[in-house]
Amino acid sequence: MGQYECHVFVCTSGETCPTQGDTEKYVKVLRAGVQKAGKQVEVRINKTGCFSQCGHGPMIVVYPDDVWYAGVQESDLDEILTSHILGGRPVERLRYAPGVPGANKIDVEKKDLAPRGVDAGAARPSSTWKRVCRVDEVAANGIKQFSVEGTDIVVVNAGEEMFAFQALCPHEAVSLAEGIHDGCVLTCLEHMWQFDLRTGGPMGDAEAGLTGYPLRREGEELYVDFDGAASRKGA
Amino acid sequence: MNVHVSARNGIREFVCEPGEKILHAALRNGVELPYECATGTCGTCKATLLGGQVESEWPEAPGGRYLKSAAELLMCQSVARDACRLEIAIALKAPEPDVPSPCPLAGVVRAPHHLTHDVAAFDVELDEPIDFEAGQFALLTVPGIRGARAYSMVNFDRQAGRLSFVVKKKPGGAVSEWLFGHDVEGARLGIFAPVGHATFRPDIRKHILCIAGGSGIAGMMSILARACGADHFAGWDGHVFFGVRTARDAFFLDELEAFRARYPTKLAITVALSDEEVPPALAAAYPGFAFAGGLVHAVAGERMKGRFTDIRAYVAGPPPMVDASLRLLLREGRLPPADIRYDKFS
Repeated sequence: MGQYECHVFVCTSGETCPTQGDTEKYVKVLRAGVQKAGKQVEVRINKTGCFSQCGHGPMIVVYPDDVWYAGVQESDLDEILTSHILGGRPVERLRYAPGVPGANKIDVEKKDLAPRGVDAGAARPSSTWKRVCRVDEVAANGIKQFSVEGTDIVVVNAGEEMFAFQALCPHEAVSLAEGIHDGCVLTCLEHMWQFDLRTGGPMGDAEAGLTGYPLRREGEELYVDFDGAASRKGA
Repeated sequence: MNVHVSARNGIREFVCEPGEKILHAALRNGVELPYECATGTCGTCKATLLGGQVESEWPEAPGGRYLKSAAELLMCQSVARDACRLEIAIALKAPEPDVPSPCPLAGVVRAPHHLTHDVAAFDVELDEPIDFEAGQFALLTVPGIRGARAYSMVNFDRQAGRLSFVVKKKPGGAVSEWLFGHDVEGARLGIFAPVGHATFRPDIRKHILCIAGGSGIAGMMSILARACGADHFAGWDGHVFFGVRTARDAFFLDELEAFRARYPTKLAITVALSDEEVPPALAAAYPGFAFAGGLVHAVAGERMKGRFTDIRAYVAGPPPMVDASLRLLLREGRLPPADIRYDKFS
């Protein structure tokens, strides 16, 4: 037996789930519900990466019951919370039944590289997207600073995903392009402040998060949407 | 002069003596204002002046590049002219329990001598003994030379009456030229100590990894003395990587061998030479050490592969070496920042 009676995983950083619903908000709603019920010790809600079932999202998985939910809408959360997470009765109508084991991605068309489930993304008119650079201008696993129409940003190349943030570390105003990342965590080497690449949220010693911007790939070009900025200051 | 500092998590008030740096007054009073180098370069101690008058004793300090407006100042260089109110953008940390607060001291130079062609050692005999943690440093001021210099303690003693230091000769460096060029035995110095966060205490229950370049080995010697004194290596491993350019730049090898000989199966010392092949005579003189060619962080990365579990790392040396080591420890070692200890001096 593990540490929690009920361990819930919400995909917030896969390729498609965060584009099919505001999964960051799902996490907040579920956590708030668990807290309201006073079950923080027994129940853990975790953000997670891809389940390799892309196209069936937003997905939520509940252990130890091993119940997988597909296509979860915001309006379904209350039922999942009350009936299953707190009540122990899975919500049958939302259960995922793909009929094949293992990875099962639907061949969806290439989606936006929209990080952290910012709801802006593809729905915004294209005029708000500003060109940043060619995709290959940011080295594999690299971080590079750009000035886009007077705003300084850094673009982080994390292999399968790319992210855009404010250029300067909130601590000492040093460029984050001087920092490093490991695909999950961005570290400013100046004073070791760390940030979650997928949310911009502060980790460890960091006392403030980063403003992140939706990033979109069109062909070999990257575009940023400043109107979709998601600030994690003090998160 | 009363100084009032508001931070994200509270307000602190303390009294500055006339002419006393604001940072020094705070630390002396147990107020843990943010700082790293304490000598005007790192910018960590910047604050915004909300009211009152302060004066910087070193307006052209390199740390000034972090200041964004005329109201911002470096607390390590600033003296309050009257009661003043400051604001810092981050949260104050609680002082680490049992870490002694620094205070202004004085002492005299004893036994200055050369360790290599460009590294010297000296002791300071204190007027009054102090306690410090292994890995901490002291701010030394030489009469007639403006500004403080930071040097790590080499020794570790409770109620230490002497502090031992090493200094690398820097062409044009006023203090290092003073130490190298004059008969300084008995000269009086001003000291503010102990300071610094790269401390080792034997209650950490982790293996120790030290990566040092050149005179950066100083603080590691104190850490090793403390760890051996507490028998830390009876249960935990020690990995020391000491990088120098060539064999003639190496020093403290006999002292390192003495530590190693006490824990021959637990404490590993590796000397990395960046600018020459390892001379066979050197390897023969220290058969208990490992020697390697290359930059010390690269050597450490290679030899520590797969061994980064339960590690507390200490890093000191020239800034590019420190930077490369931090990248190694974060990226390859995946160490949490709390287990990577270093103090940025530039």
